[in-house]
This record gives sequence, C-alpha cells and structure tokens, in this order.
Amino acid sequence: MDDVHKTNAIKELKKEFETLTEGIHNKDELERLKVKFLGRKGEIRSLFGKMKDVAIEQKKEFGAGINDLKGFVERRLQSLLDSFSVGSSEKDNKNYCDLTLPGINFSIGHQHPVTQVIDDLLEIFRSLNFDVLGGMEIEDTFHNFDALNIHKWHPSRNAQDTFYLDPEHILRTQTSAMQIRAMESGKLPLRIITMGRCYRRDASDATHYPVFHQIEGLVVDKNVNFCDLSGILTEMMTGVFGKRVEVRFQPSYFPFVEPGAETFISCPFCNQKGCSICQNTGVIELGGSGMVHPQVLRNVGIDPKVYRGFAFGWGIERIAMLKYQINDIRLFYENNINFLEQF
Amino acid sequence: MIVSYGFLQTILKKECPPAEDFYKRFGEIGFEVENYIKPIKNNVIIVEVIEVTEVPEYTKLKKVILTDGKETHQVVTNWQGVQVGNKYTWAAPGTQVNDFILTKKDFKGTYSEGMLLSYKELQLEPINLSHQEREGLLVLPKDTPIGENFYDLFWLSKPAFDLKIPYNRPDCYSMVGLLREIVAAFSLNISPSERKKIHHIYPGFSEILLKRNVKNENFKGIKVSNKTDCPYYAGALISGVSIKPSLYEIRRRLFAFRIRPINNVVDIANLVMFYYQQPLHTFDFDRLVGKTIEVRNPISPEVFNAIDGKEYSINEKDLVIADEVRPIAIAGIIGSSDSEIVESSRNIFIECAYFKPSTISVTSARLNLTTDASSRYARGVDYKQLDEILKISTYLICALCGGAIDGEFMFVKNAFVPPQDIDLSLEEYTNITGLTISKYQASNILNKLEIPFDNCMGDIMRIHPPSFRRMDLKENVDIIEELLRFSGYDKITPTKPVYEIEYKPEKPWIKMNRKIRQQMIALGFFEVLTDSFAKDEEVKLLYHLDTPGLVQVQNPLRKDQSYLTPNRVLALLAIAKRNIAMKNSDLRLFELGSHYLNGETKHLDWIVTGFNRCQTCHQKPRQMDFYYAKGIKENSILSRYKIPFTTKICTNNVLFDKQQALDVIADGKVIGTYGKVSKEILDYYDIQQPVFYSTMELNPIMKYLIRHGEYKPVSLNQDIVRDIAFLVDKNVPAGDITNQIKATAGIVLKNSIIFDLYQGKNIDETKKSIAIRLLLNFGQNATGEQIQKVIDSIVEDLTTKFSIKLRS
Repeated sequence: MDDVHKTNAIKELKKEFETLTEGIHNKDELERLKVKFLGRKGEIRSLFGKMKDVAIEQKKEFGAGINDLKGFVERRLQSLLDSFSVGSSEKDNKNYCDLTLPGINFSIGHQHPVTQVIDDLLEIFRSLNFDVLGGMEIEDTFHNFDALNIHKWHPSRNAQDTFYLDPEHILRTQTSAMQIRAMESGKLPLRIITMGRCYRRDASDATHYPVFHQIEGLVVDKNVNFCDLSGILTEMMTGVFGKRVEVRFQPSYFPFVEPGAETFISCPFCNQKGCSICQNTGVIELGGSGMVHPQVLRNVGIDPKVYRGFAFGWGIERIAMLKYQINDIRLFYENNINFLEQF
Repeated sequence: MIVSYGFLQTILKKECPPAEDFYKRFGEIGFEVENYIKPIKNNVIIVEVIEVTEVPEYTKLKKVILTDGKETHQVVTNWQGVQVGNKYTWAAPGTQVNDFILTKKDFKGTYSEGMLLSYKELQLEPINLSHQEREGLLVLPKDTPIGENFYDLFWLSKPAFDLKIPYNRPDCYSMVGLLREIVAAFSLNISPSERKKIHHIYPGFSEILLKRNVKNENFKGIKVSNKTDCPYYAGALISGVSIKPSLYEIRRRLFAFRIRPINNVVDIANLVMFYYQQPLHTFDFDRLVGKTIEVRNPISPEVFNAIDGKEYSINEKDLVIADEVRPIAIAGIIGSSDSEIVESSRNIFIECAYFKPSTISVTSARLNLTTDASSRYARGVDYKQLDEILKISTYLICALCGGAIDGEFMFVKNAFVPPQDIDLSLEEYTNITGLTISKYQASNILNKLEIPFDNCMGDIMRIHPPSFRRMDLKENVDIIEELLRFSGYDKITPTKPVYEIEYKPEKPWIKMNRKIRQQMIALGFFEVLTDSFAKDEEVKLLYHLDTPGLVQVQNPLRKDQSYLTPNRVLALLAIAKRNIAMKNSDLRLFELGSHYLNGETKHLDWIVTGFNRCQTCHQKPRQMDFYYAKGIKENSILSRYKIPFTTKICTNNVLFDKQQALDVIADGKVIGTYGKVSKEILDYYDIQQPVFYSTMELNPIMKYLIRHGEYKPVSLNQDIVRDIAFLVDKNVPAGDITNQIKATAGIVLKNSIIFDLYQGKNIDETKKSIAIRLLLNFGQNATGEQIQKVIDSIVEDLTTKFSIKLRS
C-alpha cells in the first residue's frame, strides 16, 4: 500500500461515514453505525490494523489521521444521539420536557354572531360616512306607524302583528322610528343607519322569531336617487361578504317608500350559478328599500320639493344566517354554548 | 290570490304566454309568487255510475258498474254512499295512486278494475272542498263530461301561481285587475271589455233567457242609516231559485281560484268577487224579519252568530246589516247563520255595497276575523263598477239557479269624491330614479295600464287616476313608480351618491358597548342574546305582579311573553339551565340589554357558574365562587375605567343570597348589584350548582367609559416591598384593615395585597392571621429610616384600631 492510498483510505472512510450519517433516523440505526465504525471489528479498528504496513516515518502522521477520524466520528455520533434523545423518556436527561402535553388552558370568550355582524355593519357605514342611531325598544305608535305613513287601519298595525303595551305604546316593529326622530331634529342632509332589537308578533320557526335585529339606512339630501341607493347597498353587501355582489330590485309595496322595492343580491356563494342557499335562483332576497315617500318627509316637516331620500331596512339575523350559512334563526336565541363557541 | 294557468289560457286563448314566463314576470312587476302550485298529472278519468249492487259474501262492499262514455267497467268500493247517476273520478288498473300501482283485484269471484277516488287519492287540498267531499268520494257536478281526464278538465294539470298582492293594489285582488297587469306586462292584444266579459265566469250565459217578475210588494226596501260608513248600498230580490250544487263550468272555476264550493248561489257570489273584486252577500229573503234591510250601527253591544259557527261581540262602532229586529250581517265581513242561503231557500236578496275601508279594517282587526270580503272592502273596492257587478251577479244567479228578478234593482247612492289629477314632470322621474324616460315611453306604459292622461306643455303629463286605482295613485311618486315598474327595475344601476363628508364621531353608546364587550370577552365570557319577555311565574320570583312599573304585554302570543323582563337574569338562568342539561356546566355568559321596570334601562348582566377552567395535568380548576365574581366585577370594568365606587352589603334583594351580595355605589347611586343567586330562584330553574350574577346599569357609567384616560407620570424608582403578618380578631373585616393601611400610608402606598389568610391550628380560635404585602413608592430614593417610619405608623394605627399583634 503506498502512502497516498493510505491517506486516501482515511478520507474515504470519513466520506463514507458522513454519507451514512445522512441516512440515520433513529437510535437503532445510530447504534449499528457506531458498531460499524467504532466496534471491535469496526472500520476504524481495521484502519489501525493497517498501521503495520505503513512506513515508520509516516506511522505518526497516519496514526494521528486515524485518531482525528475517530474523534470526529465519536463527536458526530454523540451529537446525533443527543438529537434523538430529546422527547424520549431517558431519565437522566435533565432538560427533558414532553412537548406533546397540552398547553395551559385559557377560557376564551366569544362574541355573539349577530353582534359580530352588527360590528361589521357599523364599520362599513362609518367608512361610508354615516351616523349611527340606536334608541329604545318601547316606542310610541306615532313614531312607529303614523309618521311612516302606516295609517290607523293598516294591517301591520293590528294586534296580530305587533306587541302592544298600551294603546299608544308598542315594542318597536322596526327601527324606522329613530329615523323619524332624526328627521324631526331638522339637521339636513342626513346619512344615518339605525340598528337594534325589534319585535314582531310572529310564531317562531326556522325563519321567524319574535325578536330580531334590524339595520335601516336613511339618506336625505337634495340630489339623491334610486341609483344612488343601489350604489350604497352594493358597497354595504360587498363589505359584508368580502366580495363584489350585485344588487337588484323588484317592485314591492311599503307605505313609507315610493317607488318601493324588494332587494336582492347576486348569490355570493355560487356566483349566480345556483346553489342550495339561493335555492337555485342565483339571487338572495334581503329586504325592503326605496325612495322615501314624500308624505313621510312632510310628516316631519321636510319639503319633498327640495329634499329627497332613500331608505332600506333589513334583518341582521338574515344577513348573519347567510354569512355563516345558518339555516335556523332560533339558534341565535337558544344560546347553546356549542353553537356560540364556533364564532 | 291564486291565478290558475289553465284558466288564464281559457281567457287569453292564443295570446297566452308560456307558463314558465309568468313566474319571473310576475316578480318583475311587483307581484311576488309566494307559492308555485305544481301541476298534478295522472290518468284519472271522469265516469258515471250506472249500477250499484251488493258484493256476494261481503257486507261492507258495493259492486259498481260505471261508464266512461265508451266502455263500462266494474269496481268494488267500500264507500256506502255511492249512487247511480253520480259522476266520480276513476283510476284504471296500471294507474299509480298514492305510491301504489292499481291492479285488477278479485273479491271471491267479484273482480274490481281500478278504483273510485277520494280527494286524498286525488292529491287535492281539503280546504277547497265541501264538507261532504271531504268525507268520501269526490262527487262531480251532474253535467261534467265523462271520459275526460279529471286533472285536465279542472285545470289541475296546469300550474297555478299564488300571488302576494301588494296592500295598495286592491284592484288586483281580482282576476280582472291581474289580467290588466298581465296584458300590460306581456303587451297582449286583449281589450278591457274582453277581459271583463261575464262569459269568463259562465261561458253559456245568454241575457235573452233572463226572466223578470213583478215587484215584490212585501219588501219594504233598503234604508241606510249610516251613510258615512256606507256611501253606496244596492241590491236585488231574486225569487224562485232552486239551491243545488254548482254546474261543472262553475266548479272548475272554483278549483281555479281554490274556492270551497257551498251551493250554486253562494258559489256565483264568490266567483264574481274573485273575478271582479267586488264582494257580494246573499240573504235568504224569507228569513228576514219585517222584510226590510237596514244599514246601521248596533244600538248596544250584542253577540252575533256568524255562518262560521262562531259568536262575535259587536258594539255601537261596528256597522251591521239588519232586518227589522236583528243584525243579519257584520257589514262587509260575515253574514249571520240564520239568514244564510240553505237548501230550502227560494227567494234571496243579493247585496252589492261600498263600505268605508277603515270601518271594515277596525272591526275586522278587533274581531280578529279576516274574510275574503273583508280583505277587499278594507283595501277599498272600485265604486265605479258597483252597478255593473250587481247586474252581472244577479243575471248569473237567475241564469244558473232558476230565479227571476222581482221588479228593479234597488240603489241607495251618495256621490264619491273622484281621484285628484296629478301633474307629473318627467324631470321628476329622473330626479327620483336617476334614469330617463321619454314622453312616448311614458304614454305607452300609462295606456297599457289604462291610466288616462293628457299631454301638457313641455315634459308635463296630467294624469287622471282611474277609480280602480284611486287607493294608490295619489301623487307624483306613485306615477313614477308605475313608469319605473314597467320600464323595469332592472334598469337601476349602482351610482355613487355625491356628498360632503364630515367627521362623525363614534356614538358614546356604541363606544361603551364596544369596550364592555371587549372586556367581557377577554375575561372568557360568551355573549348571549335573549328576547325581552318573561312569564308571570318568572316575574313573580322577583316582584309582586301588582308592583307598579312592571310592563305587561297586552297581546302576548305565548304565555312566556306576558311581561317585558324586569331583569335579564331570568333569561340568563334559563340559558344556563339548558346548557347545564347539555353537560356544559361551566358557564360565563353576558348580555347587553334592557330591563323594563319603570321604563327601559340599559344594563350589562352576567352570570358565572361551575368551574373556571377544565382540569388538566398542569392546573386545578377552581369553582367559581363569590370572590371570583367579585374579581370580575371590581377588577375589570370598574377598575379599568377608574369608576370611583364603593360597595355595601345588600340584604333586601330576593334575587340574591342574603349573605353573599353587594350593592355597587357610584356617584351616590346604586348602579348595580352582584352576588350569589338565592336558592329559591335556582330551585325554580332546577339548577343544582351555585350561580353568581351581576347587573350594572350603563347610563351612570357611560361617562367613565367614553372619556380619555389621563397619563400619570411613571415613577423611575422601583417599588419597595415589605410584608407584615399579624394576628387580629377574626371578626374584623379585611377590607377595614386595608382601608386603614391606605389611609395611614397615603400616596406612598401603591398597593397592598392580602397574600395569606389563616385560621385554625396553633392560633387562638378567636383570631385570624393575616399577611399583607405592601408595595411602596416614594417617587424618590427613600432611606431605610423613611421606609421604617411608614411601616411603623401603619402597625401603630392597626394596633390602635384593631388590636393587631405582629407575628414574629
């Protein structure tokens, strides 16, 4: 064996060791590698065995080379062993920590999905420079009905649909009463939304509940029209669903708007291709809207020849049901923890 | 209002658009299809029975020989009422009825081919059938053609549309009105006179066959005593009618409108109402006392027996039709049971009237009674067609029920105020809609809708609202809506309104609610929403029901809606109960809502119950107790927003355990209470674990939650920590001690924390051991002497006040 070959033998063995360490995944494989290199009949021993063939003047250098390799192998094997020891059950490891145990448990609070949607709507309408009004839930019949052009014998006033507290006071059926108060205050132009709990004398089922939340919008200005209403509603619903939706109208009758409309949006879930949420129609009905009836303006002392207005009023639960794809309004009021913790 | 496509085809003939176009178009013009009634298709044939005999060896079966006009068939039926000459519906073997395919059957030698069908087997709605028809087999009118498919003949094999008629469109509570809209919507070539033809109700009608009797001298005439509520009342006497089931042409129209058949006279009155909008009422003339008709108010409150078999209490404000001694109808709503047309009736009085809409609405609402007639009168009928409708209905009754008019039609009429003209500038159309329309387009739409107008100077049009639209065409915007409706709401495209923006600060109540919500959620609470109702028993837990200030609901729908809740804890406990039953017994719930007692006040309410967390290997759960509740109450919102408050023991609130409740006082007023919910209340909700409840009125604390916080300079010197431990009489409240420490130390005391409390072994049993950590900060480097001076004075004061003994 010539000297060059001997030096190469050390290098090659080192190279082989390095290659083999890359394939080590567990302690057993590591142990086999240890035996292969450091064992009594291991590779390093056998290199020492070749010492006798080495020229005397080179023995020292060759021996030092093997010792370096041995030290290198030992250190590398130890570091590999250390890396496998973490997370094992070795008792003697003082830094041992079972990372798979659960963390400390914190009790996390949850906001009700309906008030989350209310917060979304508040943010949307603040960004559109609207004011927000709340108001009380007990309302007088003038503000809830008369001022809104709902005359004394209109069916929605009757005791079948409205909770009466006395002949002049009711649980508000809509938040429009607050719009009337805002208009009565005389500050024009107006851009407001009103939100809050409302009551209808409905038997409860999957889509009705005697209490619900309403959002109503009202703009009174000198130069607003139906297309502007469409613009505001488009912004609003795009904000709610986080993607562009189209707003559409169909004629409908509400005593306080004329022209009045039932409002639809293009189904944000199927891009109008038809799905179970839109019942394969591609559109979703959301509620009423329209241009404020001139009589409503007159009722609060605004001249309809100078000012015009548009308004809309939708149920917030309806929006929340769509947003979270909830199929039963009663879930909001059952307050089952397993339901609430999903939001 | 139901529109049958089969009936539409009969009226519109080849002009009739395809059924699938109607659904969309109805919506586009403002008539929402509330229910699409699917066509029924099956091979069911109309047959006549020619022989009925017994089935040998069976007592309850009949053998029936029937004919479809071409062949005879034999069926066995268990319907005992089957009669020769009657017409029934029959399904042959091989036809599927109620998921079964009929086969030829053998009843011990008597074979049966198929079956005669009842309404259930025909998939008909019972509401559209007479009482007899709901009992057994469907018996068809005697003149029904045999051999025809039942569903085809009665238009049931075609779809029908149940339309929601807008409240302001009384004209469309009729076929004539809806046809006007349909003709306009599809631009059909059908004239108004064609639409209104009496032949659409009875194709075989001919005026030539009508007979007239001489005037009936017995009839004393019509008297209208209340002309305000009844500006028009007309009628006719028809004698010699014979009351029978209606003929086939009438019956198929009843099916088209889903009207229940009664008898030939009443059916005609109903059909005329559904076709022309005008309600009619027919009285059995022979049963009228004094042979007189008077429209008046009841003299005093009385009970009225109606044809629906119910009793109604009427009073002086209601309008009635009366004979000489008693009311025979509540005007425009319902007739009496002892004046209705029955099989024996021969002479009838037919009424055609205009009642003031508000009068009908008010009575109808008070009696909680809405009928087909009342819903039309309440919205306003077309006063211009009254004379004509009276004639049409009288002629039809004479032609179909065999009677003749006695003398002339009788009218009591007052002048109606005609609708006001409306001047519309098309610029206004643009202002309101944001769209443009030409005079030509506008004229076209108004013409289609039969709304007369004159073209004036410039872009002005003078509209003359017709009598049938006088309830909804009152001002410019009403015309604008009509123009928009027929030019298409789909033309509305989104534009951005232009306005001057201004800073709009967040409303204080929104800001407050937001901060409270954030705080409560951070503390691990779940937000809940409840309705604001409470039932008697719940309210009684807290108050006597005669307590002034409780708000009662006058017309609850259910028992649990009798009161507005005086305290939302009732709802929170009900939620806790439900969740505990679901094995979710560790609860932290809050709600922002109103209490209703002496008005409406906004509150934050919360409850905690169960353990604060689930047990894990790292942590032990702590049962939420009074101190837990106290921590939430005092160390969150009240401290965070620096609301100066004190507490006082609360012993007079039945909601709370007397030993564990505190009132919270701020600005000299009790703003809330918290503590352990009393056992009596928890027992009512069947909750076995302790619950802690807190309520806080929001108005008094709003100012603290919305104000800007103030910066206090942060001391650059570190806190000095000193612990003192001492024995003190066990009855001395810890709060008194910490208050004293605060008073003695003054501003240098940053905080004092009771970190140990002990009573028991090795201590005199009248004493307790308290260890307190004092955090002092002098705002400068303090010397040991200064610090000791403060500690000494604290110990001295505590010794003087509470006789403490320092522990070594």
